[in-house]
Amino acid sequence: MAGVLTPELSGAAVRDTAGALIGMRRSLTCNAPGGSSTVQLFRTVGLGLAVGTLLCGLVRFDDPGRWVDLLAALYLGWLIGWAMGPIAVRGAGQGLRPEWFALLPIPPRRLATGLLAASFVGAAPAITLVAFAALPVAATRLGVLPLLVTVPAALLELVLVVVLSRVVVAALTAALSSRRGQELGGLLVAVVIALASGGWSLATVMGQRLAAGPGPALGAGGGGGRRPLGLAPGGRRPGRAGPAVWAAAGGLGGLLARTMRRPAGRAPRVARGGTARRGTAAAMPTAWRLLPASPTGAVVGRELYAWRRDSARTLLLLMALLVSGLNLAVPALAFSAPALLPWVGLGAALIVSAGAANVYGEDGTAFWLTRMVPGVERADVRGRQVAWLLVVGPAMVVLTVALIALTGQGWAWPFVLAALAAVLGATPGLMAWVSVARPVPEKDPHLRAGPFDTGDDPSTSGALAAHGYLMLLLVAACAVPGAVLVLLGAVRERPALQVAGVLVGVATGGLLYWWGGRVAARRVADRGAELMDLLRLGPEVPAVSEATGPAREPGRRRRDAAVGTLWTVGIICVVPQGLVPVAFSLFGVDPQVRVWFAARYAPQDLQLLVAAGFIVVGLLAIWWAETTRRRSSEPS
Amino acid sequence: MALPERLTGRELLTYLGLLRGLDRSTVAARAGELLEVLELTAAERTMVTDYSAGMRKKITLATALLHTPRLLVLDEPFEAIDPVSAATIRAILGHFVDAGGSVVISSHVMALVEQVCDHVGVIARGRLVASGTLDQVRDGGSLDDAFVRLVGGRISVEGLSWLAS
Repeated sequence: MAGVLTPELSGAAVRDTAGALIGMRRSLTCNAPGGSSTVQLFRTVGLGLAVGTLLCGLVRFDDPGRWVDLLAALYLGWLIGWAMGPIAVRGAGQGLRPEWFALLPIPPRRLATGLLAASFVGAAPAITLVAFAALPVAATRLGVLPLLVTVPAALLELVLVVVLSRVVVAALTAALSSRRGQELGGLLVAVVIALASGGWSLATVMGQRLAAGPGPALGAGGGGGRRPLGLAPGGRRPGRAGPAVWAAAGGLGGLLARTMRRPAGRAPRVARGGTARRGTAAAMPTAWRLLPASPTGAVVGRELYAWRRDSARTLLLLMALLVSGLNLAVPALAFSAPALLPWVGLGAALIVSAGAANVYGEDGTAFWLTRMVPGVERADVRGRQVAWLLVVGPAMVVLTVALIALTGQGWAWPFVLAALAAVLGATPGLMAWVSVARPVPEKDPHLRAGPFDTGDDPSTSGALAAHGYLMLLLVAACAVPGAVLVLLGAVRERPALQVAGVLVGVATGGLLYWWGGRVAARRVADRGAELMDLLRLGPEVPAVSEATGPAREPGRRRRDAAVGTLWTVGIICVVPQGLVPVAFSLFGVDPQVRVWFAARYAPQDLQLLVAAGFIVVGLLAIWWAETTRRRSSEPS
Repeated sequence: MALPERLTGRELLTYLGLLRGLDRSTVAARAGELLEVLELTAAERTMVTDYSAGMRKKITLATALLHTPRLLVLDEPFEAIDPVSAATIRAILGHFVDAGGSVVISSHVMALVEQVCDHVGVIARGRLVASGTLDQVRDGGSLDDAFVRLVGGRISVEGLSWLAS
């Protein structure tokens, strides 16, 4: 039919199919609005990994077998990354699709060749080529002939991974367009984020094992004193920590399984009753049968269903547990520092708080339903707070209590109780306040291509990152007063002071819960129309001109992206480069554990000073980010 | 516009009913009837996020009717709706008006407006350029022609001569 409806293209027109497709792909890349946050994340992490891989090509080993092992493992990692990549960035731009050209009279073989050629255009192949250059770089030490062999080998490897990626896309296209495919992609993104922030611990463990004996680094068990993860090197057992952490890991696995088990397109069987029991109390969905029949109860039920079914929320919990586990539990076990274990629950609660900075923006324009019902603003805010506390609170309390009880770290009780009470109370309060005072409009939930798809505007990602970090810092600051009192009590050996510290933690949390909700409810009531306009139309209503189209402030996107970057730099300086080395010193982590913590490379006496320097630099970056943001939000 | 996407149709109506202060039994009865009349009972375990465009229109209409309002404001209520459902919705709206309610509809489909409305207003570039009964506004012709005339539109097929060749 296509041939009948469409005039046959001339030979000259089809001759340069590959060139035309490459040009089309390049135009798509150039016209993209900076890519979604997922694509940006993959590019940034990918470039870092590529440079890391390239540097591995420069590492000298006494045993050439180890050198081959290392590069082979890294190449395998890249191959797996290319195979999994399309799943993670589904819907965020997969380049040219064959179906776009289905109606054109181009022979399939020519079209396939052209599409393959176009697949090599873009940032991902270029980044991968940087990584694959590790092999020729390493071969330069062996002479000219190995170099000549490894250059085409590296190029062929690039062809292999690109073709593999296309095959995966072709094979999984149907699956990836379902919600389960999107959730699988979201899961991969969550794991990448967790590894980016906590993978250093796994890398260190593997690096130690690589240095400890011959053979592949990734193999578990075996002789030579090497041990699987969960036991300290040298056979030292960190108390009874192993079972507790494996129990926590089991819980994590359960959460993971829950994320993925739902059949695509169907809700869990909670809406019992159906038509047969219509019109009776039995037709009431489960959550609202148990909750009070009030506006606040209605909102709590809505939120509990969202926590149960929205994979973005489940993945946030999973990511928080992973990040906290990788940064605290793995080092605790691998480097014999069990004193870190009581803090895993608190760490996870802090990470979850960072994801609670934009609850109204996340709902998109669904806020209009609340706007249509007069006088329910307070119920909407309080209902969100109650639901957050009901979902996150018990999980973090149980994790904390279990880890302290099972590892016998009784000294930590007052510290953790004071800090956790403050964090669990302050987060819902600040969540309401920050979300209403500084909402960031996101893409409507039913239009999203995956759990982490917030929209195509890169400034949204920057603003969300800034808000997340802001929440993290504010919530962490709330834990300080109580924790300091407990610390004073411990130093002066005055239990009463420690009890007072716990009470201060509880009071701080309670006060912020109440205050944040009150201020937020008032603001929603007074400025609900403005909030609705913002969520519907975006941060500014552009003046549309037929001649020029929407007149957008040219520097806003760049400034918003810069704010997000500055916040990221600030947090990296404050937390991993500042607070973590301080914590390592306080909790007696092995001095050989240095990884990417710059302060740990300084002489012993100067380590705290260097860490303090990083904290100051980080705070300056955050101050700069906030100054820039305020300046950009002022009317010109 | 978005809805609480992770709720099923029945849950959405239950949520809104309780939010509006209705008691449990009233909410359950009205939700069941609305789902049945709008032919959404078969999909009552499907989350709203998985609804088709037509189903979204219908469940949104249900949310608007749940608390027996006296005025309904509907934007393109028949867009993406199948003919059977459209007839059902027209019947529901007729019943609503007969009971003393008022409906304000915004639409670009003039044939539909002629079919269901008794009063019409035409807005062009943010200004009300005509209003009155249907007959007053269409002034003897069709509403389509009246609309084009009122907004100063121009129907032109100049060029594109190659299409006829």
